[in-house]
Amino acid sequence: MIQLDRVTYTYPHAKLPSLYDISLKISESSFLAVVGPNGSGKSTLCALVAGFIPHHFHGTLQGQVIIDGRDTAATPLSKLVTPQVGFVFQNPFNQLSGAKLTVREEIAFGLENLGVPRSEMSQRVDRVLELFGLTELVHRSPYELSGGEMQRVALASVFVMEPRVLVLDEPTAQLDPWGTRQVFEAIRTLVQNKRVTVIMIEDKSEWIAAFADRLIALHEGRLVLDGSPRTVLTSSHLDEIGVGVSRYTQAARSTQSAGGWPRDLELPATLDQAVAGFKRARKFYEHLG
Amino acid sequence: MPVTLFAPKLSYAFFLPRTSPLHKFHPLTKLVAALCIVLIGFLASWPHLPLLLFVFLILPLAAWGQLFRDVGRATLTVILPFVLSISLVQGFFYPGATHVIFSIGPFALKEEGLLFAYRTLGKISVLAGAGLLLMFSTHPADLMLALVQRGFPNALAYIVMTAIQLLPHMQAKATAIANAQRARGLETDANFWRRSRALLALVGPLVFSALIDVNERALALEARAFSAPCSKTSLKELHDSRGQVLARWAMLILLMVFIAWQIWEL
Repeated sequence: MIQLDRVTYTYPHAKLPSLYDISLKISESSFLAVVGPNGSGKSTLCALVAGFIPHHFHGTLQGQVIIDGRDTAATPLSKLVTPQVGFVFQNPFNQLSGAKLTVREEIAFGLENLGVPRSEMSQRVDRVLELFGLTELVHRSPYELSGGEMQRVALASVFVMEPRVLVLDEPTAQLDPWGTRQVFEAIRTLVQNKRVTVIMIEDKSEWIAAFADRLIALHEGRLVLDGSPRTVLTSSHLDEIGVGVSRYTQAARSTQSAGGWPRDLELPATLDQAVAGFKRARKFYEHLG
Repeated sequence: MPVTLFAPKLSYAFFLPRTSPLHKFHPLTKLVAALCIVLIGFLASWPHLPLLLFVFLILPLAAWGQLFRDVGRATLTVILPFVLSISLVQGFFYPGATHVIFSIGPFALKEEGLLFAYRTLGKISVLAGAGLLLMFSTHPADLMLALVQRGFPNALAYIVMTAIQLLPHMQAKATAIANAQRARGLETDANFWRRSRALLALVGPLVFSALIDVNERALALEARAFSAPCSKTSLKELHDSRGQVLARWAMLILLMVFIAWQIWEL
C-alpha cells in the first residue's frame, strides 16, 4: 500500500509549493490515474512516489510518503527505484540505456545492474518479452522501433525488474491510438495478473475511463477530485480546473440540460456508457409514445 | 515530436560483421595482439620491421578475417596524405642529413630523410592497420564488456557505448533543426559569415535540448538501477578458451622479451 500523509513539497528556488497538503491512500494491485492541467503537480506527485523527491530533487518536503511500511525519505534511492517502484517517462527515447544494441539486451540492462545471474536473467527477460508482445523484436535495435514499440520496450525494461509499484508519467503522450492501446492493455495485464499497483498520469480521458480503477484530479498542487473515473471525468468541476471533458460527456450533458438523460444515471465518460445511456433514454420515450 | 522521425539506420562504429574465425576470438585476445604488433612496430630498431609486420602479419590476418579489402583500403586512406607530406618534408629538410640524392636549386633530397620518412610511414601503417583490423572485427559492445569484466570502470564503458550509439542521433537532430530553420528562412548555405551565424542558431537548440535530455536520462538510469551498489552481471556471454588465455600470455611475454632485447641492444 502507498500512503501519502499531509505532503507539502516546494522545489528549490520556488516561491510556492508544487504539492499542497496531499493525503492519499492507494491500495495494492489497483490502477490509479492522475489528471490535471500543466503545472498542477502531477509529475511532482510521481517523482515523490518514486523517491526522486527528496533524493534527487531537494527542496522542502513536509509530511510523509510511506510505501509498504517504509518512509521513502529514510530509504536510500537504490532500494526504492527500481526494486520497489518502477518509473516510466513520457519520452521513451530518453529512457533507453543508450548502451545496448538489441531489444533483448536493453531489457536485461536493469537486471545486469542488479547483478542477477545470467540464467535467471535470461528467463525473466523472455517472460517479459512475451508479456509485452515484443518477442518478434528481440534482435532489433531499440532505436529502430516505432513509438509504441519503443514505449513498450521502456515499460518492459522497467517491469522486468519486478517492481511492486509502477509510476508512469504520460507514457502514451507521443503515441497514436494503436500504440496507446498496446500500452494500456499491457498495464491492465500487470494490474490484474501480476498484482502490480499502477499510478499513471494520463490526459486521454476515454482510455482512463475504460481502464483505470480510480482517478484523482490535481489543481494548483491540491487534490480536488477523487473517485471512480466515470464520476471524476463527468464532474462539472473538471471544466473549472481546465481539464477538458470527453465528447461523450459533452453530448450527454447537453441532452441532460434539455431533460433527455435518464435521471438516475451518471453521465457517460466512454462511448459504451454513452450508447447505453442514450438507448435507455430512447426506450423511455418510445414507451411514452 | 515523433521519436521515429530521427531514428536513422545505425552503424555501430566501425564493426563489419563477417563469419570469420577472427571475428569469433575473444575481444581481449585481439586487443592484446593489436597492442603487441603496434608496440613491436614502434620500438623496433630495424627500419624494415614495421612494413614487414604490415605486409606479412596484418594483411594476412585481415584476409583471414574476410576484411582484406576493407583494412587495405582504410589503411591507404589513412596513410596516403602522409606519404607525400612526410617524404617531401623529411627528404628535403631532415636535420643533419648529408647523403644528397639530387638537388633542385637550393633544395637537396637526402637519403637519411627518406629513410626516416620510410620508417615513420611504416609505423603509421602498422598502427592504422592493427587498430582498424581490431575495430572492424570486434563489436564495440563485446570489447567494452570484456574490458569491464577485467576491471575497467563500468561508467566509462557506458559513456563510450552511448557515444557510439547516440552520436548518429545527435547528427540527425542537428540536420532536423537545420532543415526546420531553413524552412523558416534562415540562410545556411551563403557566404562564410552568414553560415557562421546559422551555426550559432543551430548550436543553441541542439545543446539546450541535449541538456534537458540529460536530466531525464539521469533519472531513467537511476530507475534502471545503474548506481546499485552490487557487482554487475551480463546477459551476453563472451567465449574464451584456455588456448586463448595462453596465447594472450604468450604474446605479452613475447612483447616483454622484445622490449628487453631492444633495450639491451642500445
